[in-house]
Amino acid sequence: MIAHIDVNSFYASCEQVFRPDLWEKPVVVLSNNDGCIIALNAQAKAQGIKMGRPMHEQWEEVRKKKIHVFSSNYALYGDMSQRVMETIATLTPALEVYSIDEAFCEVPEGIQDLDAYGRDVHNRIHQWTGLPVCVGMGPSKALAKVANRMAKSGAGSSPRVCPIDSDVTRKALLQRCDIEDVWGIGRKHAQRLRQRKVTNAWEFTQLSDAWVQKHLTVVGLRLKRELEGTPQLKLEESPAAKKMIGTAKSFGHNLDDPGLMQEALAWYVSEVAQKLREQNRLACRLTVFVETNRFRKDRPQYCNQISQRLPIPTQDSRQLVQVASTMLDHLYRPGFLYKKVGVWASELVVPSFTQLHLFEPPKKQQSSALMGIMDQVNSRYGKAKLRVARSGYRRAEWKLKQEHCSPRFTTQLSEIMTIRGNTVSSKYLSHDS
Amino acid sequence: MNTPALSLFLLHEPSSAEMAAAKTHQQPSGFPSPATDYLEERINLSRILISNPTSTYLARIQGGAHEETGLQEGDLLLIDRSITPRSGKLVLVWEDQEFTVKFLLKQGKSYFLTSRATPSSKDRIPVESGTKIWGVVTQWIRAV
Repeated sequence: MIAHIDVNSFYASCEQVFRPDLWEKPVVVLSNNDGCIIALNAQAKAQGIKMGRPMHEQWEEVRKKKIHVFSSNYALYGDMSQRVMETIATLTPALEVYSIDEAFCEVPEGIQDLDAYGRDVHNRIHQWTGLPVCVGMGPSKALAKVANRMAKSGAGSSPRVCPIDSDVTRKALLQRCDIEDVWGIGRKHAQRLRQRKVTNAWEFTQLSDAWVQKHLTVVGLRLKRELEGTPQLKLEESPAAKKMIGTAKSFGHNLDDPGLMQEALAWYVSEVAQKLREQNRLACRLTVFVETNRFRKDRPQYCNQISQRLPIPTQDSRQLVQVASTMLDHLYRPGFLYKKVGVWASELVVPSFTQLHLFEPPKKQQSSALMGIMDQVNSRYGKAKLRVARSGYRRAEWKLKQEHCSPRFTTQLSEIMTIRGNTVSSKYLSHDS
Repeated sequence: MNTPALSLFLLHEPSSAEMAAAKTHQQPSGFPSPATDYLEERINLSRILISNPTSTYLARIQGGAHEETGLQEGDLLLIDRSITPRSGKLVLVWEDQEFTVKFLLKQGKSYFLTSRATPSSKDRIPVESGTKIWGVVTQWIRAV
């Protein structure tokens, strides 16, 4: 039996945990650069706020409706996600972290009462992290997903919990699940299925295997089996190694100064290099791209990218910054207003001992020692305290806009919760004593 | 980017404990240490203070509103949400738009919050269904 667990309105819920004044209040979270809404809770949805619309179109509405707005705070979301996963791990023998706010896990053998198990999972996550989750359970991953959707819509056996534990409930719930909402059915396939009068997940399972395989390939057939209750997909406990590591962020303002762009790029490359070291990978290829603001129809547009194979695979910030910097020199054209610069490292390989020694023994060792110390200093004193000089000291002039960012309550000592004690009771106290 | 700029930054950085530790990790060339078989891990304070890191959060006291409780400005609190609040526990509570720290006490069948651990304390606030108890304070750390 597999459980699927996800956090309701994850980013918005994270913002509420440390702010009891926002419990039950409408909350939205903005994309990088505060461009548009990427997450909102049920209360904000109920006020008619929509996801994905550009912020400049709805600031007034948001203010008028007294909706609480936050810039995205990924340091906080990342740590809260980790806490959720660790909490689930205390209740299961096998866990697959599916995304930042979603996991599959195995229901321990011998559990008789699935509903009670689901409530345990829900309650423990809520108690330990303050985050609300829904729990769906079924004999396969696809059914656990369907069950989760039903738990959200309130069709489960308990609030926020829904097990599929018999063919009767399976049929009943699949009939309530629109074909568009089935995990793995894309919009095109859903359209084709609708044309064939297949409107829900149950009707999908009633199609012939031959038809499904012909029109939705073997992937569709596998999904049909899963929905029939025969598991086809295993839990992926160890995540596949990343094939590339990259970052691209919009500038706070459009830029035309190549010096500032170089500094921003060096900053991003250093972030990528640090991730390479964390994941113990060397990059064999580096790609840099630039982009103008395509929404500024009045300005000339330019976007371009260069990719280069590195002479020696590396994870050294200095070497990567140097290569990327030359690439940006080639990419840069004057006369444009740039919106974004980005970089990614690909063709990642595991450092091998022989390689280090064959090519350039002493320098390589120095490099990893120096990078190691840099990472240690930064993990202790704060991000980029020690950095490649080319990333400069003018970050305020290019960094993305995040004007509504909440504190990093759980990862920075200077930003933890503060307890002031309320004035009412302190007044009371002075009378008392 | 060339190396000297970076080394310059490093020179200004005080040599950290990590760097010293890295040096002593090198293999000694003399007689092997007789302590090798008895090596134990150094006492790890965070493991002692935090029994459940997944559910533990930090908070700091600001201002002097907690004198009755014994807390002072600057005190660091560890709050473990996995512990179910019980009578006698110090808890973090949301009250009148602020976080505050109170003792949770039980008298008869009802619970109340108070700033002193004694049941005779006068400043009692009854615990109701709407009371927002955020977590249980497990440690209280003060720099001297």
